[in-house]
Amino acid sequence: MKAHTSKTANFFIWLVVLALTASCLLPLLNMVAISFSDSASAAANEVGLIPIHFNLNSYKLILEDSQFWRSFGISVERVILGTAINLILIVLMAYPLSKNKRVFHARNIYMNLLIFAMLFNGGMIPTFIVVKSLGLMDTIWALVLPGAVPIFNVILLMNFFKGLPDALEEAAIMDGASKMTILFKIYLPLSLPALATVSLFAIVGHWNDYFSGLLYMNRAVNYPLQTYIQQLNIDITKITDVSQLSSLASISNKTLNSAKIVVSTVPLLLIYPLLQKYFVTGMTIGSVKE
Amino acid sequence: MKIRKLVLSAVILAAPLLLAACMSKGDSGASDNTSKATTAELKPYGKYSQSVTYTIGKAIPGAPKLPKGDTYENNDYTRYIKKNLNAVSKDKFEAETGDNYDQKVAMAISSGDLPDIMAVNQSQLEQLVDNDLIANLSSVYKTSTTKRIKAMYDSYDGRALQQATFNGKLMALPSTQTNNIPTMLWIRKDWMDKLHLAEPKTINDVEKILKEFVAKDPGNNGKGKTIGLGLSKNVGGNYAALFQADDIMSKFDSFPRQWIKQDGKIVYGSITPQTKKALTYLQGWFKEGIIDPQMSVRDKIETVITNGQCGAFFGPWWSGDYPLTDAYKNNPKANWQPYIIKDNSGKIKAYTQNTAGTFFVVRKGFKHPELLPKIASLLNDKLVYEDYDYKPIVEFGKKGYDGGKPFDILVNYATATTDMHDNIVKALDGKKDPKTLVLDDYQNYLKIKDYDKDPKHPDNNAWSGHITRIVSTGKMKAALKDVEEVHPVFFGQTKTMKQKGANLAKLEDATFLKIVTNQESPDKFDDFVKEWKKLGGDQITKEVEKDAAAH
Amino acid sequence: MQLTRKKGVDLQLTRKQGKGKNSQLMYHLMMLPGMLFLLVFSFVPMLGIVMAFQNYIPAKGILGSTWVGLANFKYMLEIPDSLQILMNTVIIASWKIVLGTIVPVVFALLLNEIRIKWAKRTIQTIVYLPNFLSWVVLAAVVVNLFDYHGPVNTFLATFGVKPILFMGSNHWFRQIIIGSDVWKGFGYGSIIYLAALTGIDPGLYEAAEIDGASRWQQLLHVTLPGMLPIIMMMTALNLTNILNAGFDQIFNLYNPIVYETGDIIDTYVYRVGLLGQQYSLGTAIGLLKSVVGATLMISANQASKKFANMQIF
Repeated sequence: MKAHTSKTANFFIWLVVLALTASCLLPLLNMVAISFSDSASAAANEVGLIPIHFNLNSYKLILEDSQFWRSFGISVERVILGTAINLILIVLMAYPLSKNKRVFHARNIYMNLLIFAMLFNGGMIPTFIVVKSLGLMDTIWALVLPGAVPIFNVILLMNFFKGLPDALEEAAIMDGASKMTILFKIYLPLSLPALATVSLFAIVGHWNDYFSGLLYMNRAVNYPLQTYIQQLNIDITKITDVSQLSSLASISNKTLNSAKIVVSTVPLLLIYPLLQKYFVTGMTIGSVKE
Repeated sequence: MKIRKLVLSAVILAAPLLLAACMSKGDSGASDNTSKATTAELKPYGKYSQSVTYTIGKAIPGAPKLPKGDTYENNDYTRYIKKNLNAVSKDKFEAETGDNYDQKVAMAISSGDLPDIMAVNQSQLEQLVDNDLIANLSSVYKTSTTKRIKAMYDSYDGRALQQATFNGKLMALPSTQTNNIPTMLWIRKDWMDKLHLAEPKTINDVEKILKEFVAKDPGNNGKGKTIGLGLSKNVGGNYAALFQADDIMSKFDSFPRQWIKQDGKIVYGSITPQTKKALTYLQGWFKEGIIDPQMSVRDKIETVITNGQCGAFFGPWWSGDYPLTDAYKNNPKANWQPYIIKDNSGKIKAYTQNTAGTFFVVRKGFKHPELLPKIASLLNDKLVYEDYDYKPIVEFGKKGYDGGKPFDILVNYATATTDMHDNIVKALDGKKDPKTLVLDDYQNYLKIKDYDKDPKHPDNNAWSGHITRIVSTGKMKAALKDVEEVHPVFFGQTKTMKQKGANLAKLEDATFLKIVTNQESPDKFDDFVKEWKKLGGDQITKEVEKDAAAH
Repeated sequence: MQLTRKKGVDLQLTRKQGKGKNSQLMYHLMMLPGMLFLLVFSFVPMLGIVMAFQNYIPAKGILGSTWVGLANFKYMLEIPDSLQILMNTVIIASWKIVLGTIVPVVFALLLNEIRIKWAKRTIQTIVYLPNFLSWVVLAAVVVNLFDYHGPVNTFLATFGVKPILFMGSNHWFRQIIIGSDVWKGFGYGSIIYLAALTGIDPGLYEAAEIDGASRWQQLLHVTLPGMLPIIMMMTALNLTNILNAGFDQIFNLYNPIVYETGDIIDTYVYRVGLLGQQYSLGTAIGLLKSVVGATLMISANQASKKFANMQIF
């Protein structure tokens, strides 16, 4: 690849790439700037990339908002627990599924069941009834168990395992290693990129999901963070009586909401660089498989 | 393969068994731990000898606003109920008022596992009745509400309970909707003064003033940023709510979203030629730029009111409490004043509101259906008329806490608003002992006292007390003699409405909004009418006629 | 087993890997926990699908409700919104698929030209970012951006364009939905194409250069053919989403005025089926959607096997 791009071409390449990059960064910076501005300027849409009348009021309010931190904690707990469960199940299932039919006879049956489960679902109500009958409502389990098996990720890791050389396993068998040993001592250390990728998917998925919180949490104190943020709005035109007014006072403003969003994003921004170098390779190898 | 078959058959066999087990029956009331109520316990304020636990579906505010350490199940209100009735609430579910609460109710109904008491809307009520899931309250209404509560319901000429009555059985207790007629135009008097404009009396005056507002930007918002009239996306049809255009539309005899009698026939107000005229007129305003150009996407009109961009809106007498308290707090120079807009003959046409907005129902099989009327009586009678100086709850209100009541049933007289105005004025004039005012009125009485001490520089609470309890309600009362009430003939839901209502409403919402915001010409209204009729509107009209004839 | 036997019997062992009851049992045991979860949370609820053929009455439950055959499906055809909602779904999803492929590919090609390593890495880090934020969060960003007085309108005003009411315009709503979705995902999507680029044999470029091929010709004759299989496969995979136009995104962004262009199957089912309490209708629509999705999924797998010689499952 020696060919040198001409200067004009180079210029345009940089221009387009930087424009696209800016488009990803600027709106988010704007949100941050709003969160540090005073509410009047924010409501009047005056804030650009630099806060106007810089202040920390919104962040002070958040610090005092005990429900916000409670929800934050629930989300963290959910991410840790949910991701752990996801990973264990993904690993356990991907390994036998990566074998072909001659090696694992029932492989295709399982595979078909998995695909069937990925494509069809009974809908919200029956799932809800199952979760409720199991007594999971209002527990962290309702947030992590219904999605315990992320089928897409199982397939991803399965394809990655398929790509590992068979010789490794054969050598281990010769050494008398059990399947579990092979999986955990040989396959997994080689699969760090793929594991980082599926972990990231799981972490992001758990952190960002608001809907199951809405569905399975009967008590507002048990809402995960995204659910809490999602429901900070109220429809004003439904209110016709003075006695309902008090609830309106609790509507928060644009700066406060922006601050909540910023704080809710921070954990992902912290984890992301740690996993980034792995998932780039993991993503690729997992799906580009010959 | 043996194993293959085993796996398959295990899955196939186990699944139905499990689901059948799940769906057979929800746990039917773990709360039924006591025996039925005795005669003494059936009395409105009768205290249970043994503690009764009841589950509720609780609507909550988005962000929690309870005192530190309190919960939705244990706060000053629930403790008050416990103290008086020995009844304890347990939340079966909590969700924010609105779609989220409706979702929880839908899930509860669909899974057949209802709380003992919950709030539902009209269509949910009908579904619960159809499915025979809720208790008949006829007899407990008689035994377990106080005389005053009955008198309150009766003050609506029977309209309040009629909607909750099915085949002669009372299936729910509704919250009542006090007559808040007429609504008024709230406008920036300071802007009018700056531009030397006279007070508005008719919609033409309003139009002129708003034009000046938008053109001259008296609030220095910057070019093109001043908004004349803030208007809700639904345009109109929800009298006594904020940001409706009903006060304009009624000048054209348009009463959208109401089933009214016109020339002896029952018609749906949204499809009349009068409504077409009204929408066309509003479109004119929009084209002139005096209606918020962003109305179709404006989520919170309050923000532009608070930040001083918006010059006027239509709202009920209590608009001074919300959203204007915040506007005043933000800028005490923003002098918002209410004006009642009449037509050229000095009349105000207004349709009476649906007297019942929210219904409260009791799960069939709950051993204490009397609890609902008892708590309704306790909260709306005893607490208001006897225990009005009960400290914990006075403090609760003063400090702006919210979400305490297990369920928010509100019962009051039809004339409650003007009564309130009269009582406060009497107390201020020394003709009534302020101590005899009901809780909320007394609090406002104190605010107004504050206001009168320093009318030039009141704080926002004093200002809102004065502007609502004295000014706007005073104007409302004075205007009552000029009000021509239009009584809608039907508020409920018919069979076809249940099935097709959502689609029709969607069509209606979109048509109104598009015509007003000039995305479509007024002539599209005729297409809308045709389509509305075809898609079930005609059928619904027939059903409404039949229902009206039956009453 | 002994170490000494290791060499020379590899082939035999490959076949033997799975032999023996023990290993089969072991494989089943490994599948067991996951399958149990699927049984409880996927297969059991699937029986709720029968609601599509019933007039489901909650009080009576599934066992007690009356069977209505295909009535719910017939009614679906009668609702005037059906066609519109289907069209909205397909149009939005198709554009998302097309642009969601092209933009990342082009971006990957461009980024590949940038030789300054730290710049490349920084750019990558930034463009992956939006993909990790939820629509609950991004909806606020998008609404803010396209506000009447927001940055986009302010920018357009410098060219003398009058402010546009983006979020309330049936003319713009779809574009914004599609655009913001592509925006959210393009950086992340480009990862896979960047990897495919590095995988192309440098010898091919050298050969092309010797033949005197221009940069542009190299792109057409070496780079693109090299990337084609992976592009095909990703497109095939994405095709299965043709009826998933993105509930989270649209639910958090739409309003009644743009139902006409923005209401999709999933939002409709939620609004009418659940909140509107037409449970059976909602289930029927959901079932139909699943059937179409399944058909596409299977076709996609076949297609990717055929064109890209890659099997997804």
